[in-house]
Amino acid sequence: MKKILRILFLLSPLIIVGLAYYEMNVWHPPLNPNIPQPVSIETLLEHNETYKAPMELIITGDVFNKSDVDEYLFLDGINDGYFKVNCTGLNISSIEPGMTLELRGYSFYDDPEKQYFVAIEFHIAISYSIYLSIPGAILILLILFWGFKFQIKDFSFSRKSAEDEKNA
Amino acid sequence: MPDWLTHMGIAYIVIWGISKMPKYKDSLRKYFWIFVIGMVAPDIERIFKIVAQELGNVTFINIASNFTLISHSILGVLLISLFITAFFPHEPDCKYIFLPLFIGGMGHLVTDMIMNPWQGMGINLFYPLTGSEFAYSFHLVWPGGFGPLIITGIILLGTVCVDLIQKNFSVFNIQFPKSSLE
Repeated sequence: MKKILRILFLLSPLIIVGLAYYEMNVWHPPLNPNIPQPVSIETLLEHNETYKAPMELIITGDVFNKSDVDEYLFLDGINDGYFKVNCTGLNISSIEPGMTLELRGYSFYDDPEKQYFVAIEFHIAISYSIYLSIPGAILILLILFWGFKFQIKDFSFSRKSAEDEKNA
Repeated sequence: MPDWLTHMGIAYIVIWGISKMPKYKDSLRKYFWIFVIGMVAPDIERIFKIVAQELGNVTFINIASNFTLISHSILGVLLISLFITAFFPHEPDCKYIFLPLFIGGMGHLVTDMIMNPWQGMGINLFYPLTGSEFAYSFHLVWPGGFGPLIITGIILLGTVCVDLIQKNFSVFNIQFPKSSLE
């Protein structure tokens, strides 16, 4: 492989990072309001007129607290504030502070008298995937360093050992 | 998204199936393992996510989150495959490294599409040509749980049973003489 090609390949994830940075700074209004819109709490609060009911929304957030009567949930909002969720009609007894929730519902944050999000469905997100990824990562390292004789020294397959294997 | 272990398990099941084909050549075995790495590669962003969360930098966390969206597209798989290919400069023909990585990466996207997508989004295959309205998933299982891992584990166990019956672990090119098992 040519050196210049290798350098270009090694730099290729910078395109992803660049696009990720671009995505962070742009907001597009929903193109099709008839389908449920995934939106962050931050964006919803900033553009509450755009995301108002009857547009169905999907939000994700961490539970900060819940009211004693089990009707309202408070999610972590922006600037140390909270995001109020009206859960009337839902059984939220299993929800505890600190849990991550995925909620479907409608925003009434555009209405000065309401200022809450009405949830119609929730899902408690318990993710083991990061912990389960650790044994996966160990397996990959074993494949690379033990199976393929990968060497950090030359940042590549060892040509010598590959040739030895071929000869064997 | 399923964890790395589930993706690796699915990749193993695929290469196990290929290794049982009559036209299978043993020289392909090396590229099988690159396929396994390719199957996990789009989730490389998890490393950045963990680092970003540890640092607690909001900008960094947001970039890491958007990295997931982009790495789970055809463009993302292409770029990550090229990146990993660069780690094998002594390979006589780099396309033999790139192709298993790319096919594995596409397999990863298909696997992720079975899930109820995190944050309501699906896999936006054609990013940046299409917006989130083109993101799609089959909504079969919730991400993050043990379900996909258990199903994959059962199938994987089945492949081991078949290998034991045939006395031939074709993926690893290990054939037991009859006497050693009797």
